[in-house]
Amino acid sequence: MPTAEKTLDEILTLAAAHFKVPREKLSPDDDFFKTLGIDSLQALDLLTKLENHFRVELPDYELQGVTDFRTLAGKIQIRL
Amino acid sequence: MLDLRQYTCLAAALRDALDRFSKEVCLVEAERDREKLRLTYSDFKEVALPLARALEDADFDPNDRAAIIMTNQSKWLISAYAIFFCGGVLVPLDYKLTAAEHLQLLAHSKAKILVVEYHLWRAIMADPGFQNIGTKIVLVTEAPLGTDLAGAFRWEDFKRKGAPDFVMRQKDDVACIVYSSGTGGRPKGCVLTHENYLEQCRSLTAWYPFWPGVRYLSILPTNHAIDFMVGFIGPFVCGACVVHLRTLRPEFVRDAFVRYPNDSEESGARPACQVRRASVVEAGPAEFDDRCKSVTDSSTPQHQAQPYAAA
Repeated sequence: MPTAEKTLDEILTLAAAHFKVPREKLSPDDDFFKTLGIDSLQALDLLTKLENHFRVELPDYELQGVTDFRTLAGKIQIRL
Repeated sequence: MLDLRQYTCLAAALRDALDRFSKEVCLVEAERDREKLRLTYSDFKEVALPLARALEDADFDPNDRAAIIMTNQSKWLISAYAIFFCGGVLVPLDYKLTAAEHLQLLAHSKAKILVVEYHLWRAIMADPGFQNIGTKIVLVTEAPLGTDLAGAFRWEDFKRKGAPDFVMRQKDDVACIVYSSGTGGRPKGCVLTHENYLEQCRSLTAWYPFWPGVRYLSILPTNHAIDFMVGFIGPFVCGACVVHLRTLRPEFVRDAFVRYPNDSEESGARPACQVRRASVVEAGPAEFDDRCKSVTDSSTPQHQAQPYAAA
């Protein structure tokens, strides 16, 4: 099982690649809606990509109110 | 469809629909690409009436109020029917509100009963205002066995044998109290009568008729006035089918449109356990544009449509 830090780092890298944003511009506590300039449907798109990468399924309700990478990483980490 | 002019309340119309279309499928529920549930009108009745009886036995009386806080799913509609069957007033609350807001609206509406999904109940229990909750009976859906629900009951266990007494309501009796979102100030409870809904339903079905075999994909929250009518009352009084997806990820919503049932030769899946193509959906303009784009954009990797697994 990867460490929480590694999971978080992978999420940041995947998000940067998916939305074509320089990786160094993303920080764990960033609001990904603001930093990536995305809407809720694009966030769901990212989520699907992350689920496929980590091979987990996150129910929609688990993500209600989640806006930063660190919290998102925590939700994924407990399912790994 | 039923002739709604002959009814004085929603429960009476729904009750007749359950009998008239008994063999038709009324609800399909899918979790991503896995079908979880399929109910005929007859099945729906079999699930709803024991709940109505349990509500009656719990002293839920005509005109008492019952709130529902749930995402779009079969238990929302089943609970609503049971509440109407007992002559109750339904208070559909927005599941996207915060726990504190839920508690405020529960207090304001004076709901005697609350039907709520487990994850939402967890949030409500964790709110500081939970200690003052005045709701007498709480039914929690999908709660893991053995979980401490702080005195609430598991929805799945809350049923009683024996036929419940049907409570007929009149046209000007209150059917629902629907709270506005509060974008223009404080949320306001809009009091709607059975006549309001019956007339609205007649108008809807005159313009957009449903019939047995039509499948309606329910996306807007069911507490929302539109989905309540277009994704529940309208299809039901016409014998149509409502499809609930437990996720609103674009790729799965898209699949619900394009997916046709495969015949039973594949993996032995029974045709009766496959989601058939959704025919009707309601959505806001931006959402609709996005869904269309995701279907037509050839650069979007196409999610591989597979037959829904048997429930």
